[in-house]
Amino acid sequence: MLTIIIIGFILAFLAPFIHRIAKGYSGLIFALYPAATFLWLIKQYNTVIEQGTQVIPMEWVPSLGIGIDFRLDGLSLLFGFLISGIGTIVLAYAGTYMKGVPNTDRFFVALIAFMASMLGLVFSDNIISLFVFWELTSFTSYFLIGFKHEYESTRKSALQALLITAGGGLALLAGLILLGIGAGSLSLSEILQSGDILAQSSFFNAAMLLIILGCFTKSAQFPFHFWLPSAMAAPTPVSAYLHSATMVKAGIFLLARLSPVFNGADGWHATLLLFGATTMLIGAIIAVLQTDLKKILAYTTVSALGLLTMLLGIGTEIAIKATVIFILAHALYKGALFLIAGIVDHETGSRDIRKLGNLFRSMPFTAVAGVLAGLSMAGIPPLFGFISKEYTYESTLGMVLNSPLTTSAFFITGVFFTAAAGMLVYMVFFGKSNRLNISPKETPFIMWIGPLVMGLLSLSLGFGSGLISPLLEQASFAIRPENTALKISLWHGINTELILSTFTVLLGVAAFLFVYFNPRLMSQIEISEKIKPSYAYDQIMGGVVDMSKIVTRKVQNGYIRVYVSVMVATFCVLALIVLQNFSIPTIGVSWSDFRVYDIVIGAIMLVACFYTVVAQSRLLAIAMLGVVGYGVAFVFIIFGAPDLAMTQILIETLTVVLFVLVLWKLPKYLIFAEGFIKFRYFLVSALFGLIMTWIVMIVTQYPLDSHLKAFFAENSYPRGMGRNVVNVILVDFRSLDTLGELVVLGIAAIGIYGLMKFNSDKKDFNP
Amino acid sequence: MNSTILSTGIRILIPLFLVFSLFLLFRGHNAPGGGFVAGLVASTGFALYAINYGAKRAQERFKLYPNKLIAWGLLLAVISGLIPLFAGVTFMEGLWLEEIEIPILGKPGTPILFDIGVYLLVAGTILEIIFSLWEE
Repeated sequence: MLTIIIIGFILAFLAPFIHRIAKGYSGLIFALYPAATFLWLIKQYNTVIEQGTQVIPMEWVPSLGIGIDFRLDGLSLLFGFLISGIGTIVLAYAGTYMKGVPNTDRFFVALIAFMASMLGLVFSDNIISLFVFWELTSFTSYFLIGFKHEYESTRKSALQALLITAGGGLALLAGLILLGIGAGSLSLSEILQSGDILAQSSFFNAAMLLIILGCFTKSAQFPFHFWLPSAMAAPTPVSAYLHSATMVKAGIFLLARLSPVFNGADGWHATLLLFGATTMLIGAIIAVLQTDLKKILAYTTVSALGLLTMLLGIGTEIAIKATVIFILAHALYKGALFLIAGIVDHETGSRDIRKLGNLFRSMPFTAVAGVLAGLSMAGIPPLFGFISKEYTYESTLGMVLNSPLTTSAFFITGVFFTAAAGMLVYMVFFGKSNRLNISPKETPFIMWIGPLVMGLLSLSLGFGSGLISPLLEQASFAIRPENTALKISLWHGINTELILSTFTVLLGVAAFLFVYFNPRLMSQIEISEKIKPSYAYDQIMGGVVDMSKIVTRKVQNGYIRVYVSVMVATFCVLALIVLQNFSIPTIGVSWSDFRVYDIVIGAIMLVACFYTVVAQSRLLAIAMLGVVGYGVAFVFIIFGAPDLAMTQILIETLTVVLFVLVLWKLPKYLIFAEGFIKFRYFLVSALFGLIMTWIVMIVTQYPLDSHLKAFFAENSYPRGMGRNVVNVILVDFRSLDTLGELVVLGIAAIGIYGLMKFNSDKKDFNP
Repeated sequence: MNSTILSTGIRILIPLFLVFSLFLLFRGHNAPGGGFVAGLVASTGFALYAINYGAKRAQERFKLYPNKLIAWGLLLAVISGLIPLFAGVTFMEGLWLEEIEIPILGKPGTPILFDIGVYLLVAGTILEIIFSLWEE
């Protein structure tokens, strides 16, 4: 398992090179990866059917109990098949779809990396590695949404999706850690078995809420749903893959995965039911008000995710079965519809259902695929979507409490789903209002084959549901271990579900006809900006930016003298806190201890200091500062430190040179600080000088600890091969420190380079 | 800045600065000197040239790209740390070829390589600052 994921990341890394060689065929080559994964999973599937859940352990950080363990069971296999199966179709499709688009190599890098992370996410058996893969999917999704980064709106959408899913990811991390503490293990297998211990843990409720929050952001539940429609800025293959079939279902996956732990807990059912049903209704209603193909699909996806959350919230045996059936049914028809929307957009250049129409003749294969997917979405027998709807009705009807509410909510959703399916398929392929200028052609085989296969699967699984039942049965066991065997059949006899289903379809068709004949009426309905959750998001983001601007203006005021005085003053305060326990030592120094040149150098330095402060021009001040520096170098020479002295002289020279260069650019005359401000600087510098003197006096009280000195002196030649102790320390004994300093120096130089380059043209650089 | 003395003198002085800096670099292990000081000396020569003739001309005349110097310096320093790993000792541990004694340069070893990295990086940093300040 790990090998497969690592191969994925390596392939992602190599993708640009492969793309450069294979050009238009690169999509097909990349598609081999998910196809091989699919075949491998079929082999694993047989093992799981025979022997039950498989766990592949793999240590990572054993001391913390973190491993890259993998878990193969019904649920992860179901998702694994979806990821690899749809992944194969999407990659093959994308190879043709993205032809001629610049930077396609980057696109493939992110898409393949996403695929590998998503596989890692669903197969993880350790909550930490699960979280790592979870974040990797958010991260790669950011690059994929932001693929057309030339547009500001695209960048904004990508950032929005990242902030919301990664923000939720933080909540999730906290929740998972609390869960791990409660269960005493980070292994998913052990957590799933310790439901009783966990229920007594004091972290239980907090963990549950945080995990739910993380899953809701990822799976676009109300009120976080708005990032998903915005994410439609991504190229269509990405929308089909990430934002309908796989990534957005990661939240659903995790809720399902942890269901055995939380099922039955207070709040779990109510929260999931309430938010799921709300999301479902909102998504379905907004969907039929849209005219853009991808937006319709996006909102129905939001709605479908709400439905899945609701079903998990119901949590009964039949509801779990309905969940796994709907996951498969939805992935098949929604993936196909997205890809078809991509084909239509690609061939006609429009995604507006008001403009599109009568495409059946020109693109028959795409149309057949579209019809099959649409029928499945509308839930018309004998397609797989119909079975899914039957099961959903059965689960809402079977609820002890709130049955009428959820049933009617699902009824409304079903009606709108049917209407949306009509809008997506009938209006595009058969409707007559064709206002397109170009005559569209059928797409290449490689693009329509994928959706057609998915459509045909929807059809054949409707008849041959026995084929897929063992997998779905395993998946339902994984979500709810006490479930009984799952026997799917198309015909259940005439019962309440069938009657409801019939009415749903009839009303749905009526709703569709209403939309079809009154297109103007629908487009007039507008939702006020201010009640949308995205408005709140925009407000918060705007507030954060404004706040940081204010803080930056205060803290980073651009006056170097303020920075320096703040730094020095902070040092003084901190030093005083430490020094309060020390007294001022008396040092016995007599004049006879000084040599003549000590006094001369000292006097020169003092005079230079004085002139530095009172100098009337910058150049003079700097020259005087240079004199002080050279004085220090002489002191080094006198006390036998030639290395230091040499460095000091060079640094002093270069500093003066640099200062002169800077002065060249500054205005000629100094504007001296006046009155109080001047006094303040004086105070800070005097304090600093006094404290430094004090520290030196304290230090000289103690004899120099010389064992280090002796060590270096002794070992410098035998072990460091050098007689210059200072140099040996720098490049050998403490070379790691030097390396760190080198890095800092390099970064500082590049920073200065950047500052100077950007500042010279202020129009391009807007902080 | 135009000074006849500087503009004539610096042309002769640049090779001297360079030779002196290399001298400091290679004697550094046994006597006062070392990569840091040597880097400063080397950059001083070029800096004076740049001040006199302009940064652009200095850059073109000597094919000097401070960014590359910094990158190479860092790379050499890291490589000198990585070589010991392949010899089975820890990162950055000094390795010496004791049999070989090259005249003037002394014994070859990873600390020398590291010092050359320091030399390049320091020179690159100073030149980066001076060139970017002195452009236009």
